[in-house]
Amino acid sequence: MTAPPPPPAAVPTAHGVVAGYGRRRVLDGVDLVPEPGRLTCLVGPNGSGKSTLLQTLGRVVPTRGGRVVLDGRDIADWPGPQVARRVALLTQDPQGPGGLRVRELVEQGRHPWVGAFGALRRHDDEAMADAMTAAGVDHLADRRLDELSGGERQRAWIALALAQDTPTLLLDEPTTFLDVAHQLELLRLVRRRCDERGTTVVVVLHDLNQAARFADRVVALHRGAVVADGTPEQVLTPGLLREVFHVEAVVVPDPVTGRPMFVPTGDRRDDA
Amino acid sequence: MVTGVARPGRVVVLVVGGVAAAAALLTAHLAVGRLPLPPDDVWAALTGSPTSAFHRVLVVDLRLPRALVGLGAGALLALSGAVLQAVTRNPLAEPGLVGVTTGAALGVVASLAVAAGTGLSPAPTVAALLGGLAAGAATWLVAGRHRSAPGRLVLVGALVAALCTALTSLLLLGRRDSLGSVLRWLVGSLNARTWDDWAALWPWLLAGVPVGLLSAGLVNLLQLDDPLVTSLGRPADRTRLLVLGLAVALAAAAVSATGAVAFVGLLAPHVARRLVGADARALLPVAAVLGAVLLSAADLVAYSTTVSLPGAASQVTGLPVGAVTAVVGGPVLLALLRRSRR
Repeated sequence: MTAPPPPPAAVPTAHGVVAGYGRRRVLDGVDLVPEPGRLTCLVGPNGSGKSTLLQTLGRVVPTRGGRVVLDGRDIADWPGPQVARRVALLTQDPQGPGGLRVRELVEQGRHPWVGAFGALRRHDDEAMADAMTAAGVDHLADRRLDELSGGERQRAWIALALAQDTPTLLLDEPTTFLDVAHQLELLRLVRRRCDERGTTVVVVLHDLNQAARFADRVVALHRGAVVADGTPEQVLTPGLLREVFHVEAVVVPDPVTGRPMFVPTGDRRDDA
Repeated sequence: MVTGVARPGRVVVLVVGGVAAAAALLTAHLAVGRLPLPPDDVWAALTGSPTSAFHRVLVVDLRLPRALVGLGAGALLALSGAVLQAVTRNPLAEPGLVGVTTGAALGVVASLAVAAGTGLSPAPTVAALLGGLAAGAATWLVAGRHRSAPGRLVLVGALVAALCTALTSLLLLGRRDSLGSVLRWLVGSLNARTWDDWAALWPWLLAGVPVGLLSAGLVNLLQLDDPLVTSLGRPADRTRLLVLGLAVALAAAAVSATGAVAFVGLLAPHVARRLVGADARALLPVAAVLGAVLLSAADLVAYSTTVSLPGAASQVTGLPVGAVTAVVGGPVLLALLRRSRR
């Protein structure tokens, strides 16, 4: 299994993107060029535009200004299935019917390849099996969604995105419903997709220490604009935490990885 | 495993079993009635061997079209209901709840009013079809931008249905004489269906059922929420409109032949989902066959039952099938809901 990672494929890139809902402008001229084959982490307070940015990259939210470009073309000009073969997006809190079985859910990830009226071929079955194994839900394939725990269900959704078999993976807070062990397992899985397959990953995370630990690059958003962009060491500083998150903290090296780790101050309890 | 459907054998068994049941019901329809006929006479009438002309009229011109219309309309209603439940992401959706059946009834009543005013008399089946389609379209438009939220379409549909019912009642107030002829559209009935009704229905079956079954892949996709559908490469709103339009057309076609039959479009998909799960490729064919069997069986009960209604001078035979499906379907659905997980 030492096959070299495939050459980096086209990645959706944002150039001066303006987007919003109704009258509300959520993104105000955002640039983001994810590095192919690397893991980019979006951080920022609630409402800073992380999810919207991810959804413009996945062509789910249209841009009102600026452009999202995929392989040299405006992403809006691509046929939908062609985008979906290149970019997989897992939204926050996705919804599906409880009666659906995991296998049937994951199968929807093959929709861009199979089409509305096509039949699954061996290759599709392999992609599904591979995705379910990677997400750790292969033993749950015949279970109904409403029989799963929150963590199992979230992993089933991850398997759906992996089954799309895209060179770019966009994940919006994929660890939300997971306990800490499953959070780490999922981030390790995502990390492996980068390292072994050269998948480009953009992931929204709330846990800054996890972002620091797993990301190659961290992009901080605040009020619809990028306020910091660089390695975890460059971005996760006490100054940024104060300005963007309004949190006083010290940043120390993670004793395991040496990456920056932030520890909030001001909550010292007097020893009883 | 190259096929995606879980337990495909079960689906095949259910569909084949259902078709066999439908064939048995068809046979029973030809034999049972106010004048029961032995199988020999039915066969003689069908094959045109020398027999009583009365039997021939009874079997070939009265009972056969009625039985066929019942089977076809049942399949269309159930298929429509199954598609609607998936696309609106609401397990309680059915043709009636998005306004189609009440719209069809309103169409017929309105056409009578128009006929009285202008002398034009559009065919009731056409009026029912137009009314059903119009009500479905109104539901879609009024539901507006948030129509893909679960419950939204059904909520608006219930309002449109209530409005249609109110308008129907208003129109009927001025035309009590036509109440009898309108009742079959309000309750749903297969009484006195002829070859003309079958002629209006079979093209819908021929076109609608295959298209409905082929749409299973899209129906599966549309069970997911809009951002996911979009990120999987389909324009969510347009795809939903397309598939919903198909469901409305199927239901309108069925209702234009039978009137507003209650519960078949709700019950058959529910039972089918319990039998084969939520995968539309398995669910749609099983629901369609179940719907045909359900409506046909209910009609058999309806026209072979004699009841004494309170206040009626004599006993009533030939109940409208909609009365039977409502009386039986309501409690059955309640029982199903009580037993369901949620």
